[in-house]
Amino acid sequence: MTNSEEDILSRFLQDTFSDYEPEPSDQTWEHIRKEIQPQQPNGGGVLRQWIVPVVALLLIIGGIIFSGQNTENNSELAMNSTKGKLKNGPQIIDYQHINTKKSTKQNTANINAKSEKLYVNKTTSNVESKVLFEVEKPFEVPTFSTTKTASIAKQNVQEYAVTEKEFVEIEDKPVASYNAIPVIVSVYGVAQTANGLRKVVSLGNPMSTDYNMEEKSQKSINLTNPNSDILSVVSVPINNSVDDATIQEVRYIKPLKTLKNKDFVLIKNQIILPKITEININRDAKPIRRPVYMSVGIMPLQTYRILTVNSQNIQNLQTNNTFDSERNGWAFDLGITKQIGNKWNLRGGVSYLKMRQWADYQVNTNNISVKNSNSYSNAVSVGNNDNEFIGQTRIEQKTLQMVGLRADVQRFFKVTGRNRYFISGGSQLMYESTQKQSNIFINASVGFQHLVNKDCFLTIEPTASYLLNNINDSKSPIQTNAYNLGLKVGLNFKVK
Amino acid sequence: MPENEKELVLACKRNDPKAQTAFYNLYKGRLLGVCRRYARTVAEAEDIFQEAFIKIFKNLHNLEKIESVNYWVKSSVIRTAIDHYRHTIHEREQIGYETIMEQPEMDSNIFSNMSRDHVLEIINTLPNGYRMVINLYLIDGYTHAEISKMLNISEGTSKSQLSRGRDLLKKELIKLGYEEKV
Repeated sequence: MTNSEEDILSRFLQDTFSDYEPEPSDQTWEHIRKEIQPQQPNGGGVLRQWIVPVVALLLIIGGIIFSGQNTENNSELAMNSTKGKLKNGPQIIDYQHINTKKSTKQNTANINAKSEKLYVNKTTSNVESKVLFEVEKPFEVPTFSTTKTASIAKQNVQEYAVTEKEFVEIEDKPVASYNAIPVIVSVYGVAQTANGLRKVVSLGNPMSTDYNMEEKSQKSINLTNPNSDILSVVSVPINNSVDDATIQEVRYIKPLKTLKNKDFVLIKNQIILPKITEININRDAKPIRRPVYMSVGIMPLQTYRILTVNSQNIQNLQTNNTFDSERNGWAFDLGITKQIGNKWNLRGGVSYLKMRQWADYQVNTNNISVKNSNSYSNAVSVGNNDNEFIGQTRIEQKTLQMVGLRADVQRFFKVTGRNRYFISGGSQLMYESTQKQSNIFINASVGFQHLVNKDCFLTIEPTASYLLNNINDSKSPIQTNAYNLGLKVGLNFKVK
Repeated sequence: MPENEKELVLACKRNDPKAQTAFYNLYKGRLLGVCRRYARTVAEAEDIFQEAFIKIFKNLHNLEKIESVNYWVKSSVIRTAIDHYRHTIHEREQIGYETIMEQPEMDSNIFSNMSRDHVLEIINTLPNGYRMVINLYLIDGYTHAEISKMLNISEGTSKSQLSRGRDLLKKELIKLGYEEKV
């Protein structure tokens, strides 16, 4: 072919397919979309359908609980009565009722819950602490239940008071003018464990009578020790001297700006986030369609026998020609063919088999027992058909008709064009009604399938089947194992 | 390249689902046409098409020259078809019923009314190697050097397969009236 011819052919093909735009199937985009957008819920698996609502429900419940706690806190704050104004004084809250109406333990828990919005400070350096101590002023100890507690409160304020400058400025105002005094109700610290991990610990409630403040403070406030640190101080007043405006102001004066430890937040609010270890999303696999065919077959056959003589009275057995009309029989199959793999088929169904059984032999004794009812003799009999004389020829013959089940598997080993070549192996269980005997055959075949059209193919397979059991009665002098050789021709129609 | 098409590609790079759908609708016809030429059967073409589009979307963020997206998507499809051909070439002996039954049936009685489908059927029935080279060289315009690299064969093999495939193709086309067209 010359270049010009090649160019013409090339141009012809390019023109032919230049505007060729067939339409893909509807499912194609769905498959692609699932691959490239796996995060989008689109009728996925059960897990995928439930995980989003469950997580959403957990978040909603968590939100309700959290907001409920805040509402409760706000209510408590609002319930505190106020007796005086705090314009420039320290933002302190009257929690006196904590010591009188509720147990110390409960109060501590409540304060812990509120502390993140109240006074949460962290001592970070000795310098700030010194500044703090310099501005500290002596506190009066007003109405307090016991002397011991009051002294503890005073000591707490002096030693634990928060360290950030803006709060220090507030503390610098004359405390007496506000008729209130801050009292430490809960102290948190950071301790370093033996294995080097730092963790938040509660140092206790100094308002408690069994709290050894001196001992605790010596341990926790030792700022020169790098392994310990004061993390937070919660202080409350004793007097009722706060109005609502101050409460609101207090709530915003110390946001979480100094709260940097994530674990601390989680501990205080007791929020447990749900952990989802793994999400498996089943990938949609393209379904494999394996067709089913109905098969109809007929097989002309020839029966050959392996004879075993059990009696010495039999002189010889006559043999037939290789191809003899006496051997003729046929079989009919009706069943299904199911593809179970690219190279494997399973076949099964019902079979009808008609085959001949015969025996032609001579006997050399006077008496021989003939068990076969269909047999006849050309010998001279004496009063009884079962007795035969020496040298007489005896022929037994009968036609066997069987019905039963068959099953086999095919394996394909070559494909050429429309033909597929295969080998097959299986078995048949056949029932013979006249003798009421079940017979078992094993089958083997080699053949090919030829595709006729989309829904039909032709099968041609030379087949051999061997009868495992004897056809004759066990008392017969001749035992026969038969095998059939035939050419099976079948048609298969697609049904699914 | 139209500006909106460029924006479409950029949106696809951001994994915008709507843009991906629009991108698919824009290219599906053209690319499936390419797949049909390279595949033996319709089902095989759909498999290549689907696999190619997934690759395109997953690798689109690597595309630097957005202006060349047309060439890029087409070459992606062709390379996917070649990969598919390589993977399945050893399984040709093991194909099942469906594959056999989807083989296009040649109608030798058609001599005049040569349609695109008939030409496509002829190309589909060419032996695998011939079909690949015919598509790559005669229709998609690749050189023998490029084909040899893509198919991992020598240039000589590419030329000989083209020659034989072209003769076979022409022989079948003549039956359909190709000479009259020329």
